[in-house]
Amino acid sequence: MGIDSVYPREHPREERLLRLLEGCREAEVLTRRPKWGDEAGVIMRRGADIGREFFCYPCLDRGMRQARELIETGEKKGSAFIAGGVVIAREMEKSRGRFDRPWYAPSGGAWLTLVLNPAFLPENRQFYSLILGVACCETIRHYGVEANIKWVNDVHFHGQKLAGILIQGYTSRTLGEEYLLLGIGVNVNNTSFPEYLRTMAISLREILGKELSLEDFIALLLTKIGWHIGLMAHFEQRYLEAFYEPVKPANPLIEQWKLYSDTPGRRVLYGTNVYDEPLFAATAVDIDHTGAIILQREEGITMREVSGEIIYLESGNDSFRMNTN
Amino acid sequence: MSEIDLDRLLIHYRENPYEDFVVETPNTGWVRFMADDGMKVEGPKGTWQHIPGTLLYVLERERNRIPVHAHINGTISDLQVDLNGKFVEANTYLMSVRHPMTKDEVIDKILKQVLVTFNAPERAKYFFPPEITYKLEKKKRGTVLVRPGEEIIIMSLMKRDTPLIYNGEPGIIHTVYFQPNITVNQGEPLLGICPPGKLNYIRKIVQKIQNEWA
Repeated sequence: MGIDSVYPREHPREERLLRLLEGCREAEVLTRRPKWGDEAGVIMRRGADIGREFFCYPCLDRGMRQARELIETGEKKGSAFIAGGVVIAREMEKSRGRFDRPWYAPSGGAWLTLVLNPAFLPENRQFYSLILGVACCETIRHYGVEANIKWVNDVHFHGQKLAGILIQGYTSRTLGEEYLLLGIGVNVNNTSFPEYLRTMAISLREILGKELSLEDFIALLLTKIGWHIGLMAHFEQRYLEAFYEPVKPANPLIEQWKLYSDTPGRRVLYGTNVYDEPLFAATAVDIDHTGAIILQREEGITMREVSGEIIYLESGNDSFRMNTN
Repeated sequence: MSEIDLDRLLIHYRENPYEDFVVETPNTGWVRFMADDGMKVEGPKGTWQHIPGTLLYVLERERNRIPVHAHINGTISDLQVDLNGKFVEANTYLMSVRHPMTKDEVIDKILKQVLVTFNAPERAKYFFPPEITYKLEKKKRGTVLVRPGEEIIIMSLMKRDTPLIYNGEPGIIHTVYFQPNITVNQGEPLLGICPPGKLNYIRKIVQKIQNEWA
């Protein structure tokens, strides 16, 4: 039995999203034109793969699992999965975050899994994490909500989580193709949270006091992701062109991330799996040109971490609040 | 897995119980040495190797000073003093750190020639998936079998988690070279895998070195 018969798809919703995405891209180019000129159109086209195909379902157990199934089913029929395809569920029942943490995904939220072929240079693949954080934050700010990014890509509003991101690499079993599965969850219209998340998570509807069109939100989010992926590809080209020049172009993504992040200057707790095994407290000084966080410890030692996660410590003491959704 | 001439290797390491680590510039810049020929240097220390080793040199490019520290303890040799204060290209040889090997390091070095090593594809942190962690905790050392197609390690870089698939011949996880909270450089070994039939051979090698290395 094919997976399409197990999970019925919502074809009208897919068609609507494709139309909305087209409109959002045109508007995005116009918005970016004052800064980027004619290059805005080129950059947007470079990220136009995002949302090439939609797979919408009323309910899934996990988006990542469904994306893997779609990849394998397609490959068994002899075709690789189209890069830029997006799996969307109205709700998810067994959603998980990193380290198998539960992720609450009821109806009303934007629950997406974007499937990509890793197209950046190997040394730039870590930027997918930053791109998603920046794109989510920009989309939320478009609605007038002053959200911030906590390193690497948690998007929050005054400490309450609005969006979470999970990125997994995947090598297909059938053809051995390399994929990136980008799981994105944004609390848009969902307002009921389990008791343990009540003070830690918040939705846009709660902040704004009104319901948003979920389709509009998703189309705008995918447009922003497409823009920043296009911008990164554009930066890579400029970087390679200037490879032998003494001065290299700066990565615009880093500048954008710093604009939205409230991490620099904060007291944080750091760990590979910080909720279960926090390693040490430090002050987050900055991020460097690779996106790595620079941490200053009491002993006068500066550390640069390319991986792991942080929790903001309350000012004045080193306690922290668990926040997984 | 290749057979080795263990006696010859042991004689070689006894005569020359050192490993020379080459120090080269990571990029172009003005180089200023902070260490002298013959000076003893220390590698990084601390629980997470977070205390940097001895400062070897500073590379300056566009007012950006990059201090370069020793990655291992040893003695500076072959310092290219004529390059001090000069502008150098990337990958310019500056010095070597002559590191005295311990018995465990000799065992490790010899075993790396006989075990199938599974190396880090990128500079990142690595950890085992829960099922492998469980097996390693519950089973006796040297009994956890891995087969081709199995997810054996998760590579984590900027919250991008990539399960790494084992594609070698079936074998037993003999040596784990990484620690979950310490960043591993690209190309460094993560695991040493031993085909099940060769486990006794490996044990004999370790025993022989333990007995014969002073």
